[in-house]
Amino acid sequence: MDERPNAPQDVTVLLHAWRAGQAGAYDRLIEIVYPKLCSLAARCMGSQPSGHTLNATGLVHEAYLKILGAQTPWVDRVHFFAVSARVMRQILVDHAKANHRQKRGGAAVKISLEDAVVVSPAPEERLLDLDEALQSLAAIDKRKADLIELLYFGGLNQAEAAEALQISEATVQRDLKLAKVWLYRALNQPPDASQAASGTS
Amino acid sequence: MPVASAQSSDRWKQIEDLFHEASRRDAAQRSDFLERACGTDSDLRREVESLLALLEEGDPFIESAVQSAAESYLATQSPAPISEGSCLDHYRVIRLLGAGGMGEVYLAEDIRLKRKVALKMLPRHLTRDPLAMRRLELEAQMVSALNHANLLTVFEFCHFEGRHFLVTEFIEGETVRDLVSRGALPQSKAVDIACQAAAALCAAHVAGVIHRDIKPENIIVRADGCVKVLDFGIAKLAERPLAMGAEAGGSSGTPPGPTLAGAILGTPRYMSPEQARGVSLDKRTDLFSLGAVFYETLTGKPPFHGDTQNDLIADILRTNPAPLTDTLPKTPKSLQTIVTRSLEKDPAQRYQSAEDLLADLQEFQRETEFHKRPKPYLLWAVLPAIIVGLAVSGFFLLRDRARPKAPASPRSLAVLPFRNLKPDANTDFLGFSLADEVIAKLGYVKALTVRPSSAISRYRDGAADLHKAAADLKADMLLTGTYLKDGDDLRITARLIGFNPDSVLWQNTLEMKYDKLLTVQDRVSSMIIDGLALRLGPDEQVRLKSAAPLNSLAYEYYLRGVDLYATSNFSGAIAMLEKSATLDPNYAPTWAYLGRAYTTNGSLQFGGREHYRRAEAAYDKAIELNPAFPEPRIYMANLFTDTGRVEEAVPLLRVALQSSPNNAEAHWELGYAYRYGGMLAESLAECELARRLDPEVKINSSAFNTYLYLGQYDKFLNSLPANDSPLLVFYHGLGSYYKHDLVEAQADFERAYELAPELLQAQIGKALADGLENHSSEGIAQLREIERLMKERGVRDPEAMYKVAQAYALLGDKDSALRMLDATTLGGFFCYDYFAADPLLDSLHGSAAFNRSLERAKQRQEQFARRFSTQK
Repeated sequence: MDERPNAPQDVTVLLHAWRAGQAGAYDRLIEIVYPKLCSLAARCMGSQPSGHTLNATGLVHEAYLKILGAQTPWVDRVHFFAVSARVMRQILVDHAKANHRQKRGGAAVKISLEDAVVVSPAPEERLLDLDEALQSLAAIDKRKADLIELLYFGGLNQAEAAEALQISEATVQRDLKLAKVWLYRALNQPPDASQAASGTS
Repeated sequence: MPVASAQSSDRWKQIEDLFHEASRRDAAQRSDFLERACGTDSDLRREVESLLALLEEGDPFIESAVQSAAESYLATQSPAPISEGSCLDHYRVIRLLGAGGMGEVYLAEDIRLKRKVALKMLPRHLTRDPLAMRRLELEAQMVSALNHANLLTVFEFCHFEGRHFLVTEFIEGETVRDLVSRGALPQSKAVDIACQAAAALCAAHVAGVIHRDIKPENIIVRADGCVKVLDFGIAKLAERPLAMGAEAGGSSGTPPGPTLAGAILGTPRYMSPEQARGVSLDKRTDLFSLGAVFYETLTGKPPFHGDTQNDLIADILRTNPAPLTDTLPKTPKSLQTIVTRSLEKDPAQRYQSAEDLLADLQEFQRETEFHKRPKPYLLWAVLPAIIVGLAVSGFFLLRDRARPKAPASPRSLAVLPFRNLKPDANTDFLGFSLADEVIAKLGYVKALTVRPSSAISRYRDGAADLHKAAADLKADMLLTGTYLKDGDDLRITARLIGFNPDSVLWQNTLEMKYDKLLTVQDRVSSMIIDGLALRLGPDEQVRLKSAAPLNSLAYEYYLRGVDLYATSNFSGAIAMLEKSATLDPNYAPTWAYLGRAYTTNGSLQFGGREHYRRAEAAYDKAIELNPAFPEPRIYMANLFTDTGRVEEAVPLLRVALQSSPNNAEAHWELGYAYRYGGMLAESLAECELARRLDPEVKINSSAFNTYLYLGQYDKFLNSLPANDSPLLVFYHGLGSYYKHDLVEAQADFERAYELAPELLQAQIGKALADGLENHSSEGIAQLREIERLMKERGVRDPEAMYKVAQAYALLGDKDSALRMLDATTLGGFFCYDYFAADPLLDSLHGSAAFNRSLERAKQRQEQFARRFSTQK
């Protein structure tokens, strides 16, 4: 399916429609970007040019170049990245869940004593925890959760995130500051302890 | 996060505002500010303060969570194959060598070191856990550090563009799988392979590393018969899924599901029962697997069967393999016993150590050896002697009619450095380096022994008295020469002088353009050969012609490098030679000298793993470019012996001696290698022959320890030149000690230390002197410091380790002495006969631990002798 190219114009039209609030445009964009990102991930492995480390945001950028091309207007580019950030997050969460299930599934995993010494937190769990914390943050402040998604899953810079969210860069910085400590606290303290956290300093 | 979601948006707005307000203030003022702002709302204050407290938190937790999840995700995507010619870091892929369950292996060239390596790609799904990878890396380093001849050397661990791979030495040979695929091996071959593989396991197990995946694919047999065991510890990466599979089957012996283990390891055919069960493993698992491989090499059939993996695992758990006599009716009982003990289901009933298995295998070899014909390598050892004989009796013809009788040994020639008639810093380097080139060239002429460059470098400023020079160099003939560079023109005049009676045997002048410099060595060499009317065999003619440099600038850099080396400016020499190699990488002598410069530079720094590695690569390159060129083999052999790889040194020297049977240095190095391996009679013969061919060979850099080890103390002392080299003074002390001249010994040890307190041997001598004076605590402290230095600087020479063991024993620290003694044997010096009779180790006698240490040395010595002995 990834072999059938989506004409850049189609995507641009969809991006405009999404910005104009047209129902369904966003879902349609996700449908286009998701398989593209997956196939890129498979194809990019091992054929990376020298010095290019492939990561989540790198993949998003590749997808952008493949789907829209470098000549796309800045605003469209920003919105495309915003969609891709969501897709990237979804891909990683889906993968983490699948892996997590696999590890937990079946009979109990036997780990020898030797192994127990070197058990490190699985990447799957860390991502799933982050995703959960982001959902909680979105429940009280959706803009801040979206901001984190744009910056860390989509690789947008602060100016681009400001455009995508239609806020000032100063607000981006303020939001980011609070969102980070809020998430850090959520991830590092048990939920029932977060309220009673160290109040004295 | 129920707490957060319960907050109303007004409340959140309040928290947010207070957070930003407070965060703008100094930490000191925040408390007052919040006190005022929150009033009695202590929940609000706690909430804001708990967030503020994390402001300085620098943990990039979001980035790292996303990044590791992305890596984990990407790792499951199948990578594109690596194409030929593409580069991974500084490795250029040449071709795919093979692919197996554990990933592909590529042949590649290390672009920086110009050597061939193998790249073993680790499958992505096994490389996700950084701690497990780190552990594998450590294990690989540990195994490589053992420097055992039967262990594959891992050069490094690479992570490049999302791929993890190991860079290892490239071994040309066949895997045991290849061999067995053509049917059962001859019994002696199978036993030999098992012996060498068991020896590899001994070393790795002592270092605490278990292989976990011994199988025919992981054992390579080189063309010269040397066996290498590959991939230590890699199976560990795949162990968890395997254990999961076994557990799923329960502990009742029910086999696990069909896919789990097989997907990772390829086949469980050589797996031990405890491995198949997924219970914890120890080194005995490797003995079972080796037993299974051994069985298959003997019979051509694997010991356990099953159409599916389930059946196979059930067979491993329950069935005893068919006796060897089913396939080979004449199998000796003792061989069956070895196989049966290796394949015991219960680890407690199995061989308990690789050493036990090795001992039984060797015992079996001894039993059967009587009935054997001589091994093929015997011929290799005899051949050089035949060639020497031919050279002396037949090929040596002198035109000089004044010499009616053929000389009793090849004529000896010394080439003195050429004298610059117009001294000038830009051309002075030619004096020594041109002589060196001629020396190298004439090294191929069997009817001559040519004094090495190292012996003539003291005549750089000219020889005042040619008679004395000839006498000092023990040379029958001298080649002297002058050169003059005038603009682009170069004129070289050379004279060959014979002594007793004195005569100018030949004289000639060469005129050429300076850029034809690279023809000098050929023209001078052929003038000498013609002048002496030496009749060359066809092989000699070929060798004399080969290896001409292509690029005259590269050649000039080379000559400058040679000159710098001779003046002990090793880093300068390395710089010049590297330049030369860059311009013209096809001139073998450049690589040989480069290897030597790396080695010497490394040795001066007390080891230097990286230098040695580069040296080895350079020697390899030199040999590849010109297989007939003896020097790189000789130098490389010396490096191998010094760094615990004596088993690899011997074949190199035998090849070198085949083409250059009169090469004194090659004979000396062979004697040196035999000494490390405990073949003292052979060592004595080689070293004495070397000194007959060239009385000064390595005289200042290598003591005639074979005499010492054989108890011939007077000969040892007489073999030491009388000079003030601290190394020789130390050895004089050692010889005196053995002669019970303790006063002299102590004086020597102290003087060596005075002369060169930084020299390792001198430091050991100091500790020995302390021992003689009963200053035990000082001596032991000194030895601890020596050990620390050796470790820090990567000193590998096991003979030096032995001296530390001796000093500990003399000082009464028996535990340390035994520890060093084991390190010595493991490190590649295992002269058992000497160890067992060494009076310096007297304090250790009678202890069981000492007997075990001796037994280890004995085993290695016997194994070495079996491989290399030239005597029946």
